[in-house]
Amino acid sequence: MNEPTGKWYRVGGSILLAANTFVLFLVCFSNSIVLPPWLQVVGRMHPLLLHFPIVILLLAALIAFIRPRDPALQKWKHVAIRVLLLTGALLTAFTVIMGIFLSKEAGYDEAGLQWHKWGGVILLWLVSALYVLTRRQLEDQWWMKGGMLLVTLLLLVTGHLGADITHGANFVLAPVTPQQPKLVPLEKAEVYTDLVQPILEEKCMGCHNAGKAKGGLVLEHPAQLLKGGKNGKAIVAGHPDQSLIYARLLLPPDDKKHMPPAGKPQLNEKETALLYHWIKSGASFNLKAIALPMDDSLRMAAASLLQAPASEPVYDFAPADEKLVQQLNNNYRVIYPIAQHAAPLVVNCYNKDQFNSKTIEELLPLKKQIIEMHLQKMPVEDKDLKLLASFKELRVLNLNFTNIKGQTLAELASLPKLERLSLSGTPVTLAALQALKSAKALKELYLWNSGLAAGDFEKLQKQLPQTAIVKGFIEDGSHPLKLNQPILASTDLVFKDKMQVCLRHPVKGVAIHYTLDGTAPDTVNSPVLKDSVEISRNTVVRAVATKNGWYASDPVQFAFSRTTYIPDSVVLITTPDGSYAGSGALTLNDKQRGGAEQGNGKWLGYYKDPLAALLIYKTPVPVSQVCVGILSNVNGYIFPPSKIEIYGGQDPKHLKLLKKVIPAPGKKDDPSMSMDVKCDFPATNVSCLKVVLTGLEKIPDWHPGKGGRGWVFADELMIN
Amino acid sequence: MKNEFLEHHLNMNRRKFLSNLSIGVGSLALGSLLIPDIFSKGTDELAFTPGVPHFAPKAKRIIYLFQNGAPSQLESFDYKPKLREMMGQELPPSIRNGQRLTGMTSGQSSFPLVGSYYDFKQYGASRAWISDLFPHTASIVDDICIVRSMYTEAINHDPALTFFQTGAQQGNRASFGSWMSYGLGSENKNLPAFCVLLSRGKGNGQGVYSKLWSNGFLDSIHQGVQFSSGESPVLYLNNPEGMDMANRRQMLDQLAALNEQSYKEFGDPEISTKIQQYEMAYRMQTAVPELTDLSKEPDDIVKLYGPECLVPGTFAANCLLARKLSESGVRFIQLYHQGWDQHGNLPNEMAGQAKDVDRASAALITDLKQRGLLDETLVIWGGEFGRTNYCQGKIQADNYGRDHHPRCFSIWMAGGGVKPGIVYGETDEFGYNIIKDPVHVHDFHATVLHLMGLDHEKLTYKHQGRRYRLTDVAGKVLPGLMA
Repeated sequence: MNEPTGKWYRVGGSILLAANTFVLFLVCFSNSIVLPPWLQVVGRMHPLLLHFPIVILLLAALIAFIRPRDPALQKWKHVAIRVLLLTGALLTAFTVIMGIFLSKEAGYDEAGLQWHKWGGVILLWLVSALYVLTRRQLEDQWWMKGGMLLVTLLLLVTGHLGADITHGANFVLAPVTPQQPKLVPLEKAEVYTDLVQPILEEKCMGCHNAGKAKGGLVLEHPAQLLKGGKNGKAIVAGHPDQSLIYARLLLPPDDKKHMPPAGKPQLNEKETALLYHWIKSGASFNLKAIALPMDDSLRMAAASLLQAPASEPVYDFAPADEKLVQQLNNNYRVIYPIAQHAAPLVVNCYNKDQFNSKTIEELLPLKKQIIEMHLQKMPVEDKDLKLLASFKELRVLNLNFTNIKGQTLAELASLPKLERLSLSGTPVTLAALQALKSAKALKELYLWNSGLAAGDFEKLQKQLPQTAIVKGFIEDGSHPLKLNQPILASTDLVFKDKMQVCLRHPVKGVAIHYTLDGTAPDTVNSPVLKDSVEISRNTVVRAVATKNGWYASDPVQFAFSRTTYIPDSVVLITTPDGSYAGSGALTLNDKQRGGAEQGNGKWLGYYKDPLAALLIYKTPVPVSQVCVGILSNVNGYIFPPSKIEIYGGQDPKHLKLLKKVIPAPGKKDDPSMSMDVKCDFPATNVSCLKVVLTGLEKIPDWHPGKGGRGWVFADELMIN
Repeated sequence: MKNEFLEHHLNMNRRKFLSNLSIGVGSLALGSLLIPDIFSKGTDELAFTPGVPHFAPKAKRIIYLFQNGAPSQLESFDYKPKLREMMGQELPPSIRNGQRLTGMTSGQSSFPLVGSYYDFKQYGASRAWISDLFPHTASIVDDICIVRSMYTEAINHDPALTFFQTGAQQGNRASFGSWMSYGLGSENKNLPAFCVLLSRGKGNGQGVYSKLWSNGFLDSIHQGVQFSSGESPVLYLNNPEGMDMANRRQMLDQLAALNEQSYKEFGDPEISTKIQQYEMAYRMQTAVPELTDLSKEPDDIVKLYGPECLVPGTFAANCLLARKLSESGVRFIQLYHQGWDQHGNLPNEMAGQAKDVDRASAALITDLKQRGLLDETLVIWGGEFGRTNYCQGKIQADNYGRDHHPRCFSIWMAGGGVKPGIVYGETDEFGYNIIKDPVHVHDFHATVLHLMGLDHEKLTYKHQGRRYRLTDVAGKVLPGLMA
């Protein structure tokens, strides 16, 4: 190799000198430099460039340890080392400069950065010095080799520190160092020490420490926290919104007062929630999470922060014989693997008539695989628990609403892996449940609707501190509900001579108070309905339902109408509109009322033609009243008829007008309602009646459909 | 000829062999690069046995409380104070950004923003905002996961509903519940795996049709069984007069023999399905009356769900029935509550609708929880899309309407491996676009299937020459929703 001419060395050497001076300047005045954005871009290339000096300097170090016998090679070695050292030194200088630029950006861990920076700078000086010394061919001197060793060492250390900054501490060894879960179990966690303080330490104390004390606020000790800073109190117990430490988190990120400042790591939602609930609950410094009730918000926030990532359960047993599983499977005892090709089995039992001790006993050959048994509502007896206790792999056992009383619960305590036990709907008592103290794995215990009194839950929780005890919904009478309205047992609202009115209520033990005279029923004086009450004339029955521990229902009313003379046949002379044809002529005579909705098939609707119906009696009847049930819904274009005409006579051909009634016309904003129009006339013996309802010819001007035709709807004719 | 062979053999020396080999190895490598699983073993179809989950499930059963008609997210779970501030002002076109409109508001010349008539408060450990219309849901907020960033592609009820229920906007695909029945089978052989319960509120309603619980191309045993809302939820289950169980058994045995015969003759799988269905109906004769008998429920249950739960056909009664069905191993229970389509009169109608469902929905969660069943039962509450942040029709202080809005809406999920007590996703301050963690309907399906132990890409059925999935060709599992 030809040695480069002295010119190149001179140029290189001058640049190196300039770069070194610049680095010195940067190191001295780094705090007072502000970078233009384009230099930031240069700085960000630091991680790209740094690999070159590492390789070149390592190569130089390697060559320094070679001892060629051949003088020619010896010469070559000298040149190589000089060139490599110069290039390496130059590249190191640029890398250091870029690194210092990059370090001006926020967000780096200060301590790690300092070491890395100084490592780089010292390396630069060392390499520069070695280069200067190589002018005199001293490569084989001991200090030269020592220098090269030092360079290698510095390269490794500085490089490693740099990697820590970019990839996080312990990046290289993380896969082989066992992860120490830092999480404190909830049972031992103190809200301040184990939850609040770590958040403050991680996200706030970079600035709010005794050294910097930005804004006069230090968060290192409770006393300092309570003292607050220049701008006010950091925490006001019970009032998160007045506590600056919380309120500042909520400001928009671009607000100057928002904390942590833009660019610094922010608090996540869980951490924010925890701070909120901690302050809200009084910001106590020695509160234990476990001392809080199960459903307390702070406890839940704490639990969600402390929750270790759920690991998939591991099952270390062999799968069962598939044929055996199939054999034991039937319609009432279903056994299935939790997943394809998985060994663990789940058992569900259905139909209590098919269940007995044998149902469980037959499963014993599968006891090494069964991890769940769902026996709710099956007649499982106390003695069966001994059998269940031999299924040592059980994780989940559901015994809700079974026949067990609890004397033998101790058997279940011996299940080493039982995590979830459901005993809702069984009369188990506190004394019996204490046997579960030795169930080490038990995480969840369900005791709704069991034999436990309200105070027992707390006692039991003390005995089983590791177990979440679910007591479920307990109605303590503090929020009574309103009963729903009574309902009619039969849908008939029209009767001939008399009728048994029968009202029912879906809730057991409800008293129905009623009136027959149209007055509002009251829950004290109005009689209570016993089964049914008889009526024999047009009656409005009004009723309310009452029960202890409930608010009385809204009153309900039903109008019953009497029809004395039921025609032997009814014929419609005109055809109703196709959409509202009900059940034809029968609709007017079926004892059913139409209700409020025209489209329910219980109404006859007419648009083009008037409604005309013929009622025929085999033997003449003395009629003095025809009552017509009609619907009025002006918004739906349904108006009361413009006139109602009743004709009577001995046969359809000889009819004379008995009565003409003009019902009250529909008015603007009338609510939708059904009503009865009574047409009274002197008693007349008739065998045939004709009823004609003529629709409104011209809708009045206030209506959006003014000038058009109105609909006519009728549901029933009552003849008296 | 012989010479040519000889020549060829002579030419095939070691160097040539190795160089040819390298081409072969190279193309193998290229192949595996282009199609990553080209050399992995077998196809999914051989590996998949219907009726067993692919991997250990978090949830075993689903109760889907579908709120049909699209409840407004802006009066329920997506709190937008900005809309109140800007009441009556125009929706900025940059926010709407070309979103297509339904025929109901496309003719409107202005789109005035309208804020919620109802106030919101924060509840629970997650400090979730919930409107005053849902006090009972608010009381269980620590058990539920509110998703505020659902979005869909359809803008009208039927396609949107069909999309949610079958994974496609046009009909004729298999329903969600049918896929579940196909994928996981029935836990309890005495009841259908997929049941449907309908109820109706007083609000403006939209119909639901039996195509929503159709088995589509799947075997008809996977079809949803609709329970009627009357006194007897399953019709014709009682033996007619003069017929006892022994008679019935004998009749069914004879019928099965006949069916078996024609199955052998024609080989139509529908015939064997029919035999199975008759058998199940026979077993249902004992299982169903016990299930639907609400008179044995403890008093506390009536107070928990509200007295309406004893009136057949109400949402509350359906929730209670759903709990009982689920407890008895029914895989998928689909409820529909109709009446959530508030194009007008929203404040009033929405209050009525919320009152219908709020207590019972919360009661269902509490009830499952106190039995230790919430961990294995996934409950979903939500509609088919959202409602616009602007007013449809005339805007008044206490009366306004909202049109259909597909770009964001809120649902909630609980139990069955869903992360409890969180609020997932976020919309912009106008409540119009999603700004964080969007959840497409396909993603929702993929995630729910995952919770049920099914890989949505492997749950397939070949029909007319193509493999179908519930998630069609899209969807991704969202770990952020799962505990």
